[in-house]
Amino acid sequence: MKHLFLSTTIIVLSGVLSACVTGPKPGSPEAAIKIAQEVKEEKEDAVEQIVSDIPDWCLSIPSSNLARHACGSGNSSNLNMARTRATLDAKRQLADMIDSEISSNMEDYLSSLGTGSEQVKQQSEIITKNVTIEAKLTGYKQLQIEAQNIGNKYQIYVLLEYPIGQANQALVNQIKQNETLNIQENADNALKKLEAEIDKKKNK
Amino acid sequence: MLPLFRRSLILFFLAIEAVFANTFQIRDTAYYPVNISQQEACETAKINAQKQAMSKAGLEKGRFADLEICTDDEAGAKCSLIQESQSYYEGGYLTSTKIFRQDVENIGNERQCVVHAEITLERFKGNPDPNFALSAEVSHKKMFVNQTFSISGETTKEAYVYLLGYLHSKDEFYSIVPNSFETMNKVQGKFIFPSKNSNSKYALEALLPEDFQNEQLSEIMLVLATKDKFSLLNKETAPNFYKRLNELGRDRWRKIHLGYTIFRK
Repeated sequence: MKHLFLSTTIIVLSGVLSACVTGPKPGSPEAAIKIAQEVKEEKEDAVEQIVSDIPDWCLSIPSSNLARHACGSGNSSNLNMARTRATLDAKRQLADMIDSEISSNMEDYLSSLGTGSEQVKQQSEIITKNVTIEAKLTGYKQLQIEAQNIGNKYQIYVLLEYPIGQANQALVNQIKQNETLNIQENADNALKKLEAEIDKKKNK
Repeated sequence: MLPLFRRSLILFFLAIEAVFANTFQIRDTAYYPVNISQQEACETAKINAQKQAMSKAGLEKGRFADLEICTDDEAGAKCSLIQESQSYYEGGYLTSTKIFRQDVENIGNERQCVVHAEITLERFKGNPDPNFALSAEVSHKKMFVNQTFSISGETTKEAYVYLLGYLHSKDEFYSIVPNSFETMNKVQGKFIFPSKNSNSKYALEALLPEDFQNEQLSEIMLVLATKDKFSLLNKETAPNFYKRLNELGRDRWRKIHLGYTIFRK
């Protein structure tokens, strides 16, 4: 019993001593670097875990002539929010498969840095815009769902199926007839908002 | 001959109603983690079921946009990706939601609330007027308690503009504008609540309910523009409100939902 107590004391003391010797002084730049390093490692571990834990049904998505499939993922500290994000991610992929427009615009220009030695540099900029004008989100079905814990957050995977049969197409056409103008207007407004946001970012 | 004619007429009207109304038997779920109550989880499951019914009726719309901006210069290449995803439901409204079973089940390591519901919805009759547009925004999307705010917007056609609050727990709309300080006038072009003539008489102030325990509350308001006068009750259930709006005709109104969050100081 005495031996056990002694060895425990030695282990505890050596633990404290080694922390004193090896750990940087709290508040010092070294401590800040160590914390940043630990955070980075935690993030890397989380990413590695996410990649290794992707469900099989998400890696090998079913293929069929009658339906389209998409696997979405979402992350949040709120489990239901993570599910909503994962579902929206899958819907985005389905919409992209069904109907989307891609435009890209490349600009090459010269800009000068007006300091001391006048230096001219060449810059090129490519803007790729992928817009789904109207997504037909009618009749999709959730086939699979899986929740995982990643640190203090939840990671959700959802597999959606979108049938591409005639019945669905008929419904889509009906909605299109009724709502085209309304949706087009919403789409245009949303696009304007998005472009304004980008202009703001570019001007910063 | 006459009874036959009457019966045909009744059948005809029933058929017309059936085109606009749909009833769905829905099973939907929501996670029930340890940090929320069963009531909260089942309320989320109910909302998921309502969304599923709207989707099955063909009233779910989505709009997705990706923008990738890449610059390449001497320092190297830099890319930023901006994604915008919108999933929304429009073209109809819920008239009733009957929950006839509610269970807690385990799925993997998680619990979930499962609801079985009968959900009825109605489609709006007619088409919107593409030349009648409405925009509106709230001055602050994130506010602290007691902070004042305004709602501004624009209509392309002469219209009566109303502001309503929405009480999710009761599924009720309540009237905010018009009120005794802000009378109802037709507007075309820009508008703001409180208006310039009334901003010394009243203010819109962010408040949390007295019995509210959490640190933040998300709410929505509704801005409604109608070509004809539309009487508002002080409080009205959402199905009744939408039913009256539907009677007005789809080309006679526009609405915008505005979301905002109030934080405790």
